Amino acid sequence: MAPRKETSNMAAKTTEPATEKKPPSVLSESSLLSDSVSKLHLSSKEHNTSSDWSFLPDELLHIISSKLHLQDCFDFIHARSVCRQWRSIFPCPTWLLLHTIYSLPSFNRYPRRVNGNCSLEKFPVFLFRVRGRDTLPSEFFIGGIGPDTNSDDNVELPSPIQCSVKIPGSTPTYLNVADCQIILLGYTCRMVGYDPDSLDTSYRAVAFLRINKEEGREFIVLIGYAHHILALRSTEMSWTELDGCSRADCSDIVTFRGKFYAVFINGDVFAIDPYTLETKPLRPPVIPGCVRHNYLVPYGDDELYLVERIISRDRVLSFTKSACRVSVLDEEAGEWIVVSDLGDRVLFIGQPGKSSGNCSCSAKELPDGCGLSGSSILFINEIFDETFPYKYGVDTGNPEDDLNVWRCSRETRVTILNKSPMVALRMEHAEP
Amino acid sequence: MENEKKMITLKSSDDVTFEVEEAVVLESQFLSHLVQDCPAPEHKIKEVTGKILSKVVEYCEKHVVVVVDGGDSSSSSGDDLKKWDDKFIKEMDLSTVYDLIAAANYLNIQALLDLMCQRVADVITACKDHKEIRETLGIVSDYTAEEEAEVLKENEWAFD
Repeated sequence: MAPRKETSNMAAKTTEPATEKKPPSVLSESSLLSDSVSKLHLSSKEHNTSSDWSFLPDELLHIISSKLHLQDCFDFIHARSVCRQWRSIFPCPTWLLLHTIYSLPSFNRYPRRVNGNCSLEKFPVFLFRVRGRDTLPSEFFIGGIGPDTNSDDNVELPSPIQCSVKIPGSTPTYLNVADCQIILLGYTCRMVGYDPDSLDTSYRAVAFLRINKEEGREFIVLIGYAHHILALRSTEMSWTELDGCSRADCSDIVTFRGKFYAVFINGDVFAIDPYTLETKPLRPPVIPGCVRHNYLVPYGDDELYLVERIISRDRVLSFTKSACRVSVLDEEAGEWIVVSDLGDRVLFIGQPGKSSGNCSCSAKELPDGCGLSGSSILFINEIFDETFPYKYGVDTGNPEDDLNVWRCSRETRVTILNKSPMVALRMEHAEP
Repeated sequence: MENEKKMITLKSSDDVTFEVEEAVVLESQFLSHLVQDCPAPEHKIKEVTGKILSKVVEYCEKHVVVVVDGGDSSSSSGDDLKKWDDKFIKEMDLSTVYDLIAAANYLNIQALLDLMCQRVADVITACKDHKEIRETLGIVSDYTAEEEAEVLKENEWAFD
């Protein structure tokens, strides 16, 4: 009979005799078993109840592996543990904890060319739910895992996917990531050695995007440097200034659906195409008589939020007193649409370059019993150890205050437990 | 375009025949080469049983209709197709999924292969640990005791 592995051409030829013998229109109900049933099928016939999944060829396991969600590192750990073949196919989810460092030419005295390099660090931001005995269920951590700047000892860790985090308290103990549920919130970047809050440097923000994903390792980096936006392509490795952006200083750059979004201290927002470097203004409508501090917070690739903290000119600049307006980007129309509800989402607004940065998650991911509910914003001021949870329509008791804005809510008290290597927060319902 | 649609007969390894339109056959790269190279009206597919071939034909027929009729109302029919796909895989036992993966791979039907592999990925996701994956898929561990211990160590923090 015909060989099992044939080119389509040969297979065609072997089918011809059958065609001649039987007219094609007749439905055959012959129970004659073909003697050239594939090995895959033979194996499934031997085990009637279940097919032999250990016989799956590598290339098909690779496809299955590619269908798992990269965020769910537990799925990879479980699949890797099944058998040897699976272990060789399903990757170890080290990407979850890995920091990538890119060495780039220095930009420090742009436009003068300076020899030397600077390092861009790209790292994932996580939400950690602690399950240890010594912590309250309402505690959680947020941030990237980096070297602990508070301690000198470098403990060798048994596995690349384990890492220890110091939990503050009466006796500092190491929290093993083994006791945590880890949820990836996204990726963020910082320039190593530069503090965006320092007055010593004009560097304010950085963002990284991989382009031409199919082809591999090409990327583009944007930095906010004084009142310039500088761009660097991995193919050219030199900084060039972007035209057509705001004249104000940049305060933050985020990425969303493969594009850059830069926000400036005067409230301007620009969308920047990573391929053409064309800029497009996305300024929200003006609120008369008010200054705004604007923040951009992506919720994965689902939504991009703009949080505008409105500061009346005659008022003290205070988080407890100011009001916010929140809008969501309508990408097609190129407009911001004001929203009063974030669904189950929680937006975290930290400082660019710090471990928290700006990120967001679903309130469902937060520990049960933690006071932070959906549709809220949490400002984290790492410098002053303060946090400010905001909700929509908070009644301040002052009849002059507009109810249709977001304000600091006293329902929840959030304490910063730890800042390095990541922000640890404890949420509590405030006593009425 | 043509008034008369060209029909092709596929015959499974156990001699079950299916009469389908040529467009349906073109969903499979393997079969489209086959019908191009050999204009015979009937083709025997020795690697696929009748039970599985009926599923393959069902899938290809559904997907061909949507692509042809889709035209301007593509978004709604796209949703319908997704619903149909969901139902298609939900009703299927794992042994059929396995055979369909093998068949889709052999016949080179990328969309069906993706759909079936997604189903397996969903099964993996639904399992709470590696033991449950083994049980569900009937895989016997080939680790030595030492390797198993190493695996457990890695798993420590992945246990819920």
